[in-house]
Amino acid sequence: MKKAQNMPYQSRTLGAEAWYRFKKNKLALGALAIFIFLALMAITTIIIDLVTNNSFYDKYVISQDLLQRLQPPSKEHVLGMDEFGRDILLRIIWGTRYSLFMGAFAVLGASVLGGIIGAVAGYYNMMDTILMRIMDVFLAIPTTLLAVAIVAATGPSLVNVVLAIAISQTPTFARVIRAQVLTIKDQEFIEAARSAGASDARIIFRYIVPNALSPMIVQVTMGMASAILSIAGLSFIGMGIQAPMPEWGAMLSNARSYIRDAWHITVMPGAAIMITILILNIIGDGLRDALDPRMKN
Amino acid sequence: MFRLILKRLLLLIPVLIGVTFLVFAILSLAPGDPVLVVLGDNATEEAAEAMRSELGLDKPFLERYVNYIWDLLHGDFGKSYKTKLSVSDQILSRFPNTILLALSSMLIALLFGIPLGILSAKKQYTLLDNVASVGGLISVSMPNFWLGLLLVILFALKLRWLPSQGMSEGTGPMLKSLILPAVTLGTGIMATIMRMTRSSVLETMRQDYVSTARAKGISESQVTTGHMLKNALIPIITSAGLQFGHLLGGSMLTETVFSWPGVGRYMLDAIKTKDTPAVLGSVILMSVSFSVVNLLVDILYAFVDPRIKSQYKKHGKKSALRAKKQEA
Amino acid sequence: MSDILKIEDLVIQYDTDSGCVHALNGLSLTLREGETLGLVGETGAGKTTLARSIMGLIQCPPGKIVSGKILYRGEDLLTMKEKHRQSIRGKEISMIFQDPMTSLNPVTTVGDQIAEAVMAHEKIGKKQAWEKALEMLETVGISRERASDYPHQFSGGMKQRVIIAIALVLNPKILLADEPTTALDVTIQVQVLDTIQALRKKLDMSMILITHDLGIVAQTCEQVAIIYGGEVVEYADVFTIFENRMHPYTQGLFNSIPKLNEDVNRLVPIEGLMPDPTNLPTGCKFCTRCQHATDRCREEHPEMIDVGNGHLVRCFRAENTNAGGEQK
Repeated sequence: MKKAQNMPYQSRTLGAEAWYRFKKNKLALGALAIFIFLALMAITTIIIDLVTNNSFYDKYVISQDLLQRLQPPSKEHVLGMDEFGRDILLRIIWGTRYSLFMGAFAVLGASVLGGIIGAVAGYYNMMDTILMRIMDVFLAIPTTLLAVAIVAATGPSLVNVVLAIAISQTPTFARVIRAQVLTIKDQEFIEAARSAGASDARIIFRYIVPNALSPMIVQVTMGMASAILSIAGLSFIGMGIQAPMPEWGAMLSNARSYIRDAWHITVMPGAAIMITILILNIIGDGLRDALDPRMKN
Repeated sequence: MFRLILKRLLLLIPVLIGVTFLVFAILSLAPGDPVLVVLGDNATEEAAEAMRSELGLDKPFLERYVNYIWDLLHGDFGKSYKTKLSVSDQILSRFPNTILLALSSMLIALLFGIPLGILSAKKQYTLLDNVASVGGLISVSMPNFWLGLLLVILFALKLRWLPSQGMSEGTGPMLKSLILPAVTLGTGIMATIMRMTRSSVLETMRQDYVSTARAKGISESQVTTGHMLKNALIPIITSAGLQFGHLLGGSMLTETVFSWPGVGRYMLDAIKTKDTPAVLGSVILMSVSFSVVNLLVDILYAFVDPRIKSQYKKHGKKSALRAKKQEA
Repeated sequence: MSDILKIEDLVIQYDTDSGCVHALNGLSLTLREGETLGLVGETGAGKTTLARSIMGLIQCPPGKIVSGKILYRGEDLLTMKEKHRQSIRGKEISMIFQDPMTSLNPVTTVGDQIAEAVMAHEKIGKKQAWEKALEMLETVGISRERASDYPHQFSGGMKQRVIIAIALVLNPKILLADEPTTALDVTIQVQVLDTIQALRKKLDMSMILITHDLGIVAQTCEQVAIIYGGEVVEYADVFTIFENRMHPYTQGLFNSIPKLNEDVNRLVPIEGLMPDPTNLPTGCKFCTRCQHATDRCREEHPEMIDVGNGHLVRCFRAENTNAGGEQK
């Protein structure tokens, strides 16, 4: 039984094999498709803004029409109108960019920084204690709290929010990578490479990094989900993206005042946040199962 | 056992020094002059100068930090820039409310998360398991401040069963006003614990010792609680401990949504008014609580897993953690 | 001697991703009172599945008991109520597992693990159950002081003794020993085997010993069943198996072990591998590796043939043999 199916496995690379397994998970595949769609949508809105020189954005996403305010969902406006008479669907679509791209940048920053710290700590024993003690201090502060403290000190702006989230996630990445490097480092193929005269850099980039990649990829997906949550949370308490920009958390924050009159303006932006995070979590679960079949139940 | 606790308490000290230093540094090295915030932009230079020396802001950073720690050790968090009230009094009067909210959320999470996780694992691939898995995934993905708003819409505004805001007086009404915030904060954690319990029980279900237990002819419920759950507990405790950090962080948002008079909301108000001592005190208090919870979790391990306990006895913490890692 | 356990036409399958695994294919076997039956076969022949099915430890799904009977003193274990079966499991029929390193619950003391078996079947208090457990520990050669130790504090051989103590604490009528010494050092193997043998005689148990070590079979068993592809291919008393084996597979097994009294340069292995259990041959299960295989072997499934003196062989070549088994 195993022969027929397992033979082609061995000739595949790790990535191809993981993709083969990922493909079988229809739910994760669907989530990935939706994620790509969201990303393309966000890019499209940016292109539209560039081409029309923000006139479309100003006219439909920002400018107010008080006659239409708080209108419930209808045929013309599928998700209804917000407290200033703006189409909620359009604002949600235009808001995708903040969650997706800010989240992506934050995670990129955290993974590069955390990756380097984790790799150095894991590889060089003498650095391990110092770096990980420092990371312990960061980890002792709840992630959201750390991000809030940083934004509180530096002031709410797009860059500061991204930086704050990146810094607050760095220790998590450092820990994941360090643990991975520590296990790989002691394995015999590293010993073999070293006795063949490979340099530290070569060992790290040729042998350790590729082997540490799987948990990193999973952590990136999960980290992105939590970054999006943090962005929305920060904006919700007025410490992230500010109105009138159509960021989902900021939209929710404004909607709160109208919760008695029009529940739809509260429900919609939150649903957008939840769906995006849900998609990332499904992709993350799928990736973990595909990359590390032992973890799968 | 006593020595273990003492040892861990001692190890906590450098972490706490680090935490206070980090938070102090972030908040005091930031651009912007707190004096101008307090006095307003059109304050005179002399007034600002006087204020600076009054608050000790003219001293070098390290000296300020050492002074702050010194006061902190005497239970003094300094005075609020805005209200001139003692930050310690302000925070400590709100702290029980935050802890109450955090503990009730955790209670909800454990009370529902663990049984659901076990059930889900034991009935793997059935409808129940699928519903629980999907429900868990959705709950994990829900921003808790949004969930809070949804609950307010449904239970406070539409059904009018529960109050939408604040903390009511008297035990009965107070507990009633606690329900929505606690459910809001507890749902995501419950889902995380449920998922962890499920995978952890599934893992132990395959172990040989479960077969040994079954072969004794004990009942299935005894197998589940005495053998599967008892072994699955360590990852569950770990994840519950980590979630406590999310709880404290998340309580800020939940307290805002429900106007719950806790430390989180106090801190947010302080941030908006750039009231640094108040922010500093709140962040430090929450971080210390988180560290203490982590310490408790570490001690709990030793009670749950005899292997870790005997490792502690023999070689101290490091090898115990290594053993734990190897088990995982 | 009366039949204490009788297995009739047992068919068990597992549903897996790569197809339906035919683990047992109409296996029939009889264990007589007080007798030790050796069950010999390669890994994957279905030995463990058989033992687990007698204990009622087959996980369904993925396992599936398609047909057959397991009669214990005339009662079918497969159709009886779960409650009744539970009262037999561990009390009347016990099992010793393969890997002592993983077969004990790591977070419970060994004393508790033995006492648990006692309390599952006898209505006595914890104290008396513990007393019984302590006695049993001594019987298997472990001092009673060690009862409150945890499994990780024992060596492999000691752990296996604990497992034996769990299995035998209630004086079961039947003991199923699934390769009880495979995971142990050779020197320890003998000790553990001696312990099992001595207790078997003392408690007057019947035993099914699963092994692939023919040396152990020669030492301990009275009857031997050779299993291949989920069915018995040869069954006889131990002398007949050693002196007058008839099935080509049994002969192959014996050719692949070294002999002290013969001078051979090279051992003769059985060519080829066990057939794929999801896709077994329609005829004789062994035909793919048998040097005597004919077209008939490939198409027609051979029945058990009695060649006399209770010696049963599942091979067409035995058809011509006179009762009495003179052939060599």
